[in-house]
Amino acid sequence: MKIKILFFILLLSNVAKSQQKLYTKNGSITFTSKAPVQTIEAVNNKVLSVWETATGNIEFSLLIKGFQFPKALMQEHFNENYLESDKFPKATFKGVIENSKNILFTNDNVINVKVNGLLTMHGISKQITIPAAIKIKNGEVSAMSNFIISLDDYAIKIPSVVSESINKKINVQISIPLFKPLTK
Amino acid sequence: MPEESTVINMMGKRKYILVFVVLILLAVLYGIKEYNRKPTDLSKVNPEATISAVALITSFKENEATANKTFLGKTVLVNGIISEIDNENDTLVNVYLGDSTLLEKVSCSMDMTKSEEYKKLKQGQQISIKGFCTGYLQDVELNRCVIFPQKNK
Repeated sequence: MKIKILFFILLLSNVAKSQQKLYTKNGSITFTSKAPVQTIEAVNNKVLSVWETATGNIEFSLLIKGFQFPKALMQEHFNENYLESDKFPKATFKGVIENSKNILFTNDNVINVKVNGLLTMHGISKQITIPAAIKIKNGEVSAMSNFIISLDDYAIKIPSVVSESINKKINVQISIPLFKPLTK
Repeated sequence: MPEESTVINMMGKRKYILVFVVLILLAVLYGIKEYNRKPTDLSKVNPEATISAVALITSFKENEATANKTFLGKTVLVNGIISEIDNENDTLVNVYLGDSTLLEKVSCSMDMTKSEEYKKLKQGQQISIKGFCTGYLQDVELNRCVIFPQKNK
């Protein structure tokens, strides 16, 4: 009897989970440029993400001015000259997780997925596919992703004077420490 | 006297080179200083705007483009009530200002070089926070925030 009740509760919670939205306001995105002269790294800890688990639709958005650099000059150049954050204050990604029906939220596991979607920044949108790892542990959902973007794709121009200091291929690392259920 | 004029010439040249070297040295020093400059400590910066948390949220909700023109990239002093404090193992502290009628908040990422000051903060407390406005997502976002000292009455 007890087992039956437990099973029923599990079933219910499963149904509830499959319809819900997961979200975070505290995702972090780090980007790294490795060039002969210097390595530049900046982090944004205020990434907003909403994931509709039933459909696999997932969205990210962040504020360009929210990237923090160890050096002020880098941050100023990044905002004023390269990303023009007064004109384009946000970057967004709207995509779909491939085969998201295979993600089991009930068991502890790590699943590798592909996410297809539109990345928009600096006023330019590009269709991209990124790999991601989704981890479920003790009912908590976290996610990681690592991929490379090219500055040329987003019309971000680097003057030749600093071409030895900035790599045009930027490594992007996304880390969502905890996706929380969105309650209305 | 061709020899004498050469000597004078050389002395002039030396002086010229010396000034040139000093100028280059100064430029290099300035360059190094600029290169290593840290993001400004906002406690030393005068706010460019002063506003209540609710008014700030409302202005972004009503017209984000206009609010961006007024606040984006500015140092803003915000008065409000702490609705939530998010502390991630003392490495990141986020203070949310707002009231219960609004779902949106002013989300203040605190300057972690002053982390000691945040331990005494409490939910429901009236506070003034100075921060660098980075824009509007779900909340109005402020970075590198510092507590603005309250004047004793």
